[in-house]
Amino acid sequence: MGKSQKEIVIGFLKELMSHLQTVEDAQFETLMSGQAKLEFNIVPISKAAVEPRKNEEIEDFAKNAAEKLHGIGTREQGDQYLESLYRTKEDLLKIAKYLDLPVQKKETIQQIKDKIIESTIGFRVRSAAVQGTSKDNSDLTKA
Amino acid sequence: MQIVSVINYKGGVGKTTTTANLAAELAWRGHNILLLDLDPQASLTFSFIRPDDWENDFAKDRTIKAWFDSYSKGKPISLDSLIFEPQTVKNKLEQRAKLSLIPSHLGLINVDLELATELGGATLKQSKANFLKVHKRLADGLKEIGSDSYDLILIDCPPNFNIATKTAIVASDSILIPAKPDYLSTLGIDYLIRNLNQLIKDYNEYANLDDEEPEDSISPEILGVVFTMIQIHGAQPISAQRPYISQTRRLGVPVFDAWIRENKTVFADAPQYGVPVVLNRYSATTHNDVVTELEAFVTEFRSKVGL
Repeated sequence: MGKSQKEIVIGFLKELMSHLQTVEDAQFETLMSGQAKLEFNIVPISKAAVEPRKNEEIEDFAKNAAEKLHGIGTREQGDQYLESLYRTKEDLLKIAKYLDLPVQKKETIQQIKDKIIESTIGFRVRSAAVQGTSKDNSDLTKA
Repeated sequence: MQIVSVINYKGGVGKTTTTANLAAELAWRGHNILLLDLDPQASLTFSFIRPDDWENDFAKDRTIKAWFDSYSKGKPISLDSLIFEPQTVKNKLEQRAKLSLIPSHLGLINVDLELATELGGATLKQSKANFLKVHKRLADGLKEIGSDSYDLILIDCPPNFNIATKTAIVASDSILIPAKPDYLSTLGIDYLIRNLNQLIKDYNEYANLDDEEPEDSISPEILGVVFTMIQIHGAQPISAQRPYISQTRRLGVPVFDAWIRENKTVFADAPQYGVPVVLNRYSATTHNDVVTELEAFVTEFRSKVGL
């Protein structure tokens, strides 16, 4: 039996909340002020069944994904973002390549995701933890 | 005269190799350099003098330990009296400039216990005075060395943040951090920054407690991280190392563009003969690549410190 309309609406709202959690504060403010809008795309659930991205869109896709990940604050949000983003393993490999990460094709999707997240979010989180601050505390690090 | 401490929390990152070659190349280029070996492992010392010579001629009373000990005995000696020019490297430098050394001592690790006994006090005022007295002891000692005698003092610090290390930081204008581009070494950079910030905060709080007689504040800056033990492929660091270099930059830590590569053939036995690699003009291609990269690092270092 298919999902009831109620279940579909609840699922949609959960997806919406999950997505909003990955939106940066500044972006959210522009959304609330009416200067920006949310757009939704309908994508197939089965990632294996989708067409790979076209070559001409790959570079922008990887660049945008990397920039977005660099602005995300937690590994969990990064994971959610990646999960909502990639269609195929190839997509993840392209992001990893853009980030100059050592990834082999035989690595699993989860391993590649972990490497991407560690190199864009994890290093900031662990640095803040070791330095004992969640914000940049580098008075000393004058360029 | 500038003072630069060379330090990393993580041992085995090529700190001594970096310090010895930096000093030697700067001296080759005409700068008078004083090396102060503050690491009880004495690796820098043994890069310029043989351990047997050290035992016979220096260990008893011609090391930095003797200087620290002289305070606990109540008869301070001057740092000047400990400075000497290692002969082998002096010959190699052909009188271009001085490369001097204050040797370390394997027993230097015990100095911290002595220094710790001097801290504390019955009142806040006493505590403050003792804290400042102990922590700026090396700074005061180095001031007695004439500022015209040396262009640069390089302090080779141990991979810890004990009191002796803190005296070096307090004395320094800036901090050079050699690091391997790997997970644990880059965590060591974060830990170092945390402790540096804490030391500066504590010291300056004490220094400014007394409104009527404030002491000078300190503000050592991180000169930069120089990545060491780089494995090269296609004229650049291998892909496993590159992410750690870019992550360090992204954290806002200054990073040298130059790097120092891993090469056991070139680096393994150089300290045994008292002459840093950068001063040996061998013709082999690999050796030339290593020397060229060291020279590039020194050029960048000079520019950063304004030598």
